[in-house]
Amino acid sequence: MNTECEYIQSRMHEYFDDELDYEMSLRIKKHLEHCSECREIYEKISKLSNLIKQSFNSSSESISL
Amino acid sequence: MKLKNFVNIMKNPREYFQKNKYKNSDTSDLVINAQSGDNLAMDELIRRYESYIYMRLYQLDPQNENIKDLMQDVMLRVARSLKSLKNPKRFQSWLSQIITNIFFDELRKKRRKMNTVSIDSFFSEEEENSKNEKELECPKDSPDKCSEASEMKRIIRRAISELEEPYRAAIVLRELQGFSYDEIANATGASVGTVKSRIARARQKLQTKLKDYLQ
Repeated sequence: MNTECEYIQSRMHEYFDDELDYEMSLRIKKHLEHCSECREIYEKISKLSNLIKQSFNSSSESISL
Repeated sequence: MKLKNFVNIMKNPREYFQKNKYKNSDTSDLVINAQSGDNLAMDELIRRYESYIYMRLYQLDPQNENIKDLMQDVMLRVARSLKSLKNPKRFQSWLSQIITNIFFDELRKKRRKMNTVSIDSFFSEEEENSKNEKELECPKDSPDKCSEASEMKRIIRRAISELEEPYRAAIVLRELQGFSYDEIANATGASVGTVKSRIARARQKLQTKLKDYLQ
């Protein structure tokens, strides 16, 4: 893993959560286009996020007062 | 018109029309009317968001025995401070902020009362007792054998519940309530830097626990 990857991965959660400015977001987006290792990390965050949302979305429907 | 509605109208027309005055109004209209003092609009607004309030509080702490008291506090605050909401279209996010503030105010009060407070258990004793048995039905190395998706969801929810409170709060507010890091920092009284690291740490912990589902 090179230093650029290290840096990108340190900002990955902020990137996923849309907490970065345009310039930084663009830098990470471009990096992900050609770096499979970092892209895999991003995809895992994304999958986890979907799992969390799904696990509550359906259960919330059954919550009654 | 359905027969049931017709009967209700004939029984007490005034009450029926009052109750249904805002039935088809959108939230922004309800907010605007409630802000100008229309109690029927306020009642409809509260009625419409009652389940939403419950769900948000439940997500933050399913084991909280005071959810209904907290709901009352939320509704009271909505009624008292609705006039301060400038953009009626942002009612839901404004409400979400109130729910979170009230939840954490309550948590801070509890912490002051007892040196420690446990909000770490997501499951009732009954569910906990059957946990091992259920895990046997769903081997970790082959999640595809889970016969029902609900089992997987239960495992994910349990993984979240097992996070320590600061991590769970951060991830729930981010993933389920859509709060920004700034909003989470305000709600929890932590710095934005701390929120960042809590979210990253919470995800790392969940990724380890749920690695079989993230292949």
